[in-house]
Amino acid sequence: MTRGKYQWIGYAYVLPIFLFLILFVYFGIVYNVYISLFEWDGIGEKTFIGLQNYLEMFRDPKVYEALLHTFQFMAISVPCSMLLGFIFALLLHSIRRFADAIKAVIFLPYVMAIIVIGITFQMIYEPNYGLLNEALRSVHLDGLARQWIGSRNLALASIAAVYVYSHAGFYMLLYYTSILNINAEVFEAAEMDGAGALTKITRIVAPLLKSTHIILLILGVIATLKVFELVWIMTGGGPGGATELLSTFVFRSALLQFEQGYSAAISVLMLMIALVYTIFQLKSYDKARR
Amino acid sequence: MFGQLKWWEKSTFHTVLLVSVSVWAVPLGFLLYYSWKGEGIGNYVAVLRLELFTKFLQNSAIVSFFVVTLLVLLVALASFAFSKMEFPGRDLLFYLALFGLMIPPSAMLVPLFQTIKAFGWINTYMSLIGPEIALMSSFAMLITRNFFDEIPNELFEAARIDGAGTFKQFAHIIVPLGKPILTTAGIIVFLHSWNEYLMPLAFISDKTMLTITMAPSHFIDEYTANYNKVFAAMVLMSIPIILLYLFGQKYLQRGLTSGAIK
Repeated sequence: MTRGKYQWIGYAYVLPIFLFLILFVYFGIVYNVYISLFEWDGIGEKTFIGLQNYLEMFRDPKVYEALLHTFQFMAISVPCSMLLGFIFALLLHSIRRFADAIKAVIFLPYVMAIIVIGITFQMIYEPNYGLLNEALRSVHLDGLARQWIGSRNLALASIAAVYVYSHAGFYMLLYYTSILNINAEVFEAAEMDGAGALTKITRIVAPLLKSTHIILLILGVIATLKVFELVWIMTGGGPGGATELLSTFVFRSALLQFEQGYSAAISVLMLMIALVYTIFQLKSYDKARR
Repeated sequence: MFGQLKWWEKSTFHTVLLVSVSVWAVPLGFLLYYSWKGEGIGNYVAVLRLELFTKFLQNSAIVSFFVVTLLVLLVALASFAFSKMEFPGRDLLFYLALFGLMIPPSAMLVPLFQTIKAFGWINTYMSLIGPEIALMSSFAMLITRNFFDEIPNELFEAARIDGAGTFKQFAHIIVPLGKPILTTAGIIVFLHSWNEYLMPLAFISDKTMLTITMAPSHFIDEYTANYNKVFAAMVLMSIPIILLYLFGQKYLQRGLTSGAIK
């Protein structure tokens, strides 16, 4: 680079993409904060109400429920996806033939549209003639047949299972690549010490992939904060609010109930959670890497 | 990594792998089976004959085309500057550009709706193209900048000595050498754009402007109880994705891993 001299033309190169970012992202964040101070149906007059929306939000049991569901969803889906992804990656490394085909089967759900996955599982979970209950009945486990997404207790976990189904392929891919990057000599040395497959996994691979575990944890949590489609498609937040997340709550209040001010306040809450979490995680990631 | 496995290790691994692949294959198989049930190929023919279905496909193709073309071009320009030029506030701007990575799209609905309404973009392609470019640009910029950083600075210095301006450097160095990563970014962005569900759900009410992801719910409402045709529609809309996966696997995998592990 030309030392000591700035290339002002650089601004011209970054400007076009920043026009999109300013219009659809930065302005949006500021506008969320602004609108959250008003009571507004989105069309008529705005009424300034200060922090009322926030006070209401902190008193609203539905917001706490949605927050709880978001964390429950995360607590199920992130560890399960990581564990399954890790196991699949290891298993893929144990075979020579068919590896590409197997990878494709597990990875395809990740690239397919979530609406396709969601509706397919809606039919699989269907209580009367759905594939899952039919299969259970056919092996005489009728007692295990359930309402799945129709029951308040099981709905959230059932959807989280679909989320794991669709995302495990991504985790598998990252683990698979990270394992490829481990120096082969490490394994050869372990073999000379008589280490079996299980020892290699628990003593070598799992600890060596520490930074992959952390990265996947960070990405997983952020991705689950974004979940909207799958829940909206499969249950719409029901039954009786049992699967309502912050994202479905915002969609409903903004676009179906026309409470723009209130949903802006909840949007600000979501953005704050994402921002604080990201900063916190990046710091701990830096520390772990050093 | 495992070297020689003992017979029982090998058979345990293979059994577990077989079981998990079967579990993963069943829903995909069910999707195909259910789309075929009843009238077989007739289900597909019926869907393809629906004027709206082809309209949805066309809308998705138009939106995805513009998203991919514009985004790849604008991101390549910006990443070039971020990677190879020196200007005040560069790093700060780059971090700002990565903001989109963590933003839950649903938290942007209120402002996006107002912005799009203010510009008169409700029920237009622009309501889908604009936000998609903005929200996907962060990821694309992250992977392209990482890639451009690996291109030796000497190439640009040599070009400068030869009197090449920044645009010439962009056209003659960045574009040819950056092709792999730009292809990767294009594929990932296409997948995301083709599969996008939230934006059309929020901003499109005119059914002739809906995209393909809206087809299932639209047909469920319209043709109640004929779920086999809905499933046929879902298989049809997945075909471009599957083809892209098969042909672009290498690019796709590289992009996803380089975005995460760096």
